[in-house]
Amino acid sequence: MARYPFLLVVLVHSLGWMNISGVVSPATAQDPVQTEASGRAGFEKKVLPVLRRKCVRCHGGTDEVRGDVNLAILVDQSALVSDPELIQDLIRVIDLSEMPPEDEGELPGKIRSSLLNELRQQLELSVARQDRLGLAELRRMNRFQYNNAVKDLFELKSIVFTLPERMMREHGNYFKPASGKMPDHVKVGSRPLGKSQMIEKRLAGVAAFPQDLRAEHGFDNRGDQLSLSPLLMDAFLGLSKSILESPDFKPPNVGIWHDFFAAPEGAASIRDELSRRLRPFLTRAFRRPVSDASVNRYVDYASRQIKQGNSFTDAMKQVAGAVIASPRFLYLYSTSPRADASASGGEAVADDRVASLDRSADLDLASRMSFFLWGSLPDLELIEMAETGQLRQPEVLQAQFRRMMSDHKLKRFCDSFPSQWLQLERIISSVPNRDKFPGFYMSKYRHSMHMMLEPLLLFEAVLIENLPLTQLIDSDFTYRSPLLRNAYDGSGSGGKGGGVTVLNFTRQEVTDRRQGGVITSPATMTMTSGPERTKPITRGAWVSTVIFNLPPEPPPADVPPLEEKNSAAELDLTLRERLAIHRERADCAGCHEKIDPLGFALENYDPIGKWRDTYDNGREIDVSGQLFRRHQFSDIVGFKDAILAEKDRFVRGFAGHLLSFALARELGPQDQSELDRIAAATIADDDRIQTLVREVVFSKPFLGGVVLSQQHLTTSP
Amino acid sequence: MNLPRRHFLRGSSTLIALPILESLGWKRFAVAGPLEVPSKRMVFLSFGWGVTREDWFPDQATPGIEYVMPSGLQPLARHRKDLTVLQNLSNQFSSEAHWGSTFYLTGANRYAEPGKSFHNSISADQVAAETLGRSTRFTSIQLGCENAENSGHGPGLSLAWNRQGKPVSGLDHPVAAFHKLFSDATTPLVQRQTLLQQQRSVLDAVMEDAKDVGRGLGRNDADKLGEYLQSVRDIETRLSKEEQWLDVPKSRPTGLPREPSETVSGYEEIKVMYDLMIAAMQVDATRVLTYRQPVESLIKSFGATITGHNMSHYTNGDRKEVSQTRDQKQSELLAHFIDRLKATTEADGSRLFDNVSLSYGSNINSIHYLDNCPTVLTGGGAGVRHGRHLVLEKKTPLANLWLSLLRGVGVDAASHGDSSGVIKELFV
Repeated sequence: MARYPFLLVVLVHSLGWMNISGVVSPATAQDPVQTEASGRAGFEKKVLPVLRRKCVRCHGGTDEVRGDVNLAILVDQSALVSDPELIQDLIRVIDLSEMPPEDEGELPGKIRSSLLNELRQQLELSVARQDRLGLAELRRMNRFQYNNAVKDLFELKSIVFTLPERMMREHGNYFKPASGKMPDHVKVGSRPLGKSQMIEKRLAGVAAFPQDLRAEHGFDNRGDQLSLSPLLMDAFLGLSKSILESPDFKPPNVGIWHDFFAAPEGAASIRDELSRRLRPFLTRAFRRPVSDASVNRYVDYASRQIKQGNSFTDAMKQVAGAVIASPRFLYLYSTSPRADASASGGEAVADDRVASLDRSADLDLASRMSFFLWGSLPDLELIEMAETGQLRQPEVLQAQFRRMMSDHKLKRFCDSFPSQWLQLERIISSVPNRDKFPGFYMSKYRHSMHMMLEPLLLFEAVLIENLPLTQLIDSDFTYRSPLLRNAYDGSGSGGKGGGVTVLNFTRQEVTDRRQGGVITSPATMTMTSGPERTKPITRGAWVSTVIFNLPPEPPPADVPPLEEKNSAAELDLTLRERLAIHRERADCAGCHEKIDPLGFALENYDPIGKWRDTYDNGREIDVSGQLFRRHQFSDIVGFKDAILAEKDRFVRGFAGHLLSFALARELGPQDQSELDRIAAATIADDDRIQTLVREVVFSKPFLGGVVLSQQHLTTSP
Repeated sequence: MNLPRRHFLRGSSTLIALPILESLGWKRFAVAGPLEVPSKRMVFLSFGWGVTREDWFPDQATPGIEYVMPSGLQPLARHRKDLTVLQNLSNQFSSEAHWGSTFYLTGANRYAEPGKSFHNSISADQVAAETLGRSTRFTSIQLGCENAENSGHGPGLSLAWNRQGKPVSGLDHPVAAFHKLFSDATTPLVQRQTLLQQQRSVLDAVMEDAKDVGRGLGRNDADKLGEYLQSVRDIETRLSKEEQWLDVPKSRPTGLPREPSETVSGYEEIKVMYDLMIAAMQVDATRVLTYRQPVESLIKSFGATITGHNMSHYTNGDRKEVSQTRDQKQSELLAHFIDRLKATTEADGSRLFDNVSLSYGSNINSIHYLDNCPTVLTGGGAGVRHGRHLVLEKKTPLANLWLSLLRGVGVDAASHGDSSGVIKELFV
């Protein structure tokens, strides 16, 4: 039964990009037997002939398989649909004209599109057969989320501990998403690089636990990377204790003090009082209604503490300490029935779930939304909407989404997603040669502390003002400090102002298209360079990964890096010529043909992102190349135009980044059709970013087990 | 409250045994006066960046007793009869040229778990500690250095990785090591007992919640939750041990070095750490020690101004000189360590040296090469016949060495990491 709606979605997609988020009744779905049959026919008619003609010579035709991929095994459709990853790869290389290679002769456009169409349908069949629900697995909060969750749970007036990964510090509350407008003047600071930006109001005596490893090409919330060791568990236990014992953990700083920690007045039964206080607290901490048994366990715990002579407040602190070390607080997990639940052998459902069985998926959704947009626990309103089943009404979901997007807590999304998407942490370790770029340094500070804020502010403006995503590629405005204006506008209009503490950024128009957008921003150009020279391959890989979401394969381990300085013999060569020499291995060339042009296109920006027309040795800079073997360009504006011509790919790539962040997992073949849908809906609404965020929330994998109660939904946010 | 938890917690597809407390008898046994037969000890030393390959490895054409000790090993000449130099050991899965210690004692495949960008498995010292560490105050001791990445050690908190392949923390400064091993807490006993009790009761509370979460999870999720349960369990085991030793003051050997200076660094730092290791073994505080030695501060302490990484990419000239000097200084320090091991007598009159199995080396050969990991063995603990230069078959798993040494000291291990067997040549 579960498969029917999915198949219909498939069918609709194959007719074109239509926006449907709802689920259709099984009666209207097509007969699966018929679909299977047409799948076989499609494979034999449209896929197999092309494979035979164009692919198998290298990919497994006779005795030798030249590529890593063997396509000779695809003798019938069942072999193809059993491997959704392979289909996804095939779609990618054919869509990007990477395959077949030039010497094999390109596919005529008509055949290409019919092949792609067919492969997309095969992918759907394949995914449907795999029966993957692909819900995020149980995962631990990362330290950013932990910080936010503890702050929200206790309604702290300060943060718990300072984190350098929250790169941009907000001064003077400029961030007002409800207004729909970023102010023209903002005061910000750089936590990792600025002066005193890590000194903020926080709990004294509480130290952060170590930062979590980032997934390769992923975000720091990915469940498969967030492991727990005894060491970290120890840290969590220690943290609970130090938070509750901090000298700053006292009434004026703790919003819930009066209702939770303060000793009760009057002579009501202590157990009743404990129970009355603990239930809402546990509900919020665990993001779901808790059973009487659970509440009683904690009531027992607190009573024991009181009996042992602890004060009421101390006993509550002990309880709170245990709660925030509990796996029900630390771990995000789904309680709704899922595809692999049968693996657990039909065990008895936990008592907590009996009470709310039919709402567990709704509560999971509420948590997913809040961890996505707020990096933290859902508030009581959201929990209530889920618990009462209202959240599954599209207009309520929409209203809650709007509410969350207007809340200041949206800043946490801006503190986590954009910097990771842009890989901006790389700027922290960028140290251009001090002798070559003396202007980059201000005594012990670096210009990068200003640079890194520019793309982040651009992102926030695009998000709050709901601008088209293309503004991120080629913006007509930006935020700059006087220092950046001085150094990069070439107009000298900045005046003085090399601040190191609170930095003043002002919105300004961008008329010179060599500037604007995240790619050519000084931050990106600097962090993709070495101390001595630019690194076109690194830049190309960045563009491919960040902009198009096509991360290149990592290079083999035994390739020596290019020396930073020119050796005597290479003194007169351009970087492009030098790299060509160093790229003699045939197995390297394949990848580099794709990524290198994207980096060479940016050669006019020196290692600190300043414009240059020639290299140090006087040679002209040649930036010409082509994008996706389709769009020729000969200068940076042409390059931006080429990217804009492929903006749909950028939108879809961005949707992939965002969906992966929202789901806290790697995407797979089963997500591809939803990505198509999200991208199509966004493109249909002038590439507006909030539409994309909304479509992510309304997407099938994000909704998880929640079935929306109506079919028709509007797309405008 | 305590009792049910001491039974088994049933996850959906995994059974997790909850801690069975080690009997209190261990403590009595351990402090019951001089031991009849001295116990075996294992010491594992690693340095990050590899050696100067031209001047450190003996000529492979001259295996056996009659080999020429190259200049990098020369300072060890006085112990020549008590050393074994091994060649052609490597970790087949290692591919990170800057990770001299991450997989050194584990032989793990970083990508063994699909979808994870990092995986490790238990290190040889922790296997040893499960047996040798039962009756000592410290199951094992991990020493290290500050900024270990700069010294080419790679990810990890020490050389040690636990059964689940998670990093085990280390003591990164001699001062920390000194206090951990030899200083008693100043808080009163009652207070410490209360603290332990509190920690226990929190663990009890969270384990109940874990049970709730555990019901009905899919297999992946249950494994993930298993990490949590295992972590709680490990902490409980540690608390039990702490409890056993709570009222036993730490013993200090005669001639214990003074508290090290906060500023000690490089050459002197390594020397102090070696001395502390001797002292720890003297009072039987632990029988398993690892040490991730500093490289960057070592070269700084003899005047080099380049980074450790820069040195490791030596070409003829200054950088190579730094690299060569560094090899020699390290050998000098090791020779000093061996002197001390030989000079320390045990309760039965034997030398500490006779009961120790010591290995010294790195996962990195030299520069970015990962084959033929530099390896020197000494000490009589594992029964290795010393005095020889052994040239093994190319790409012999390093894990074979660890398996051989483990079995040599009497630890019953079936295999280790990617081991394919023991190195018989060591013992004949």
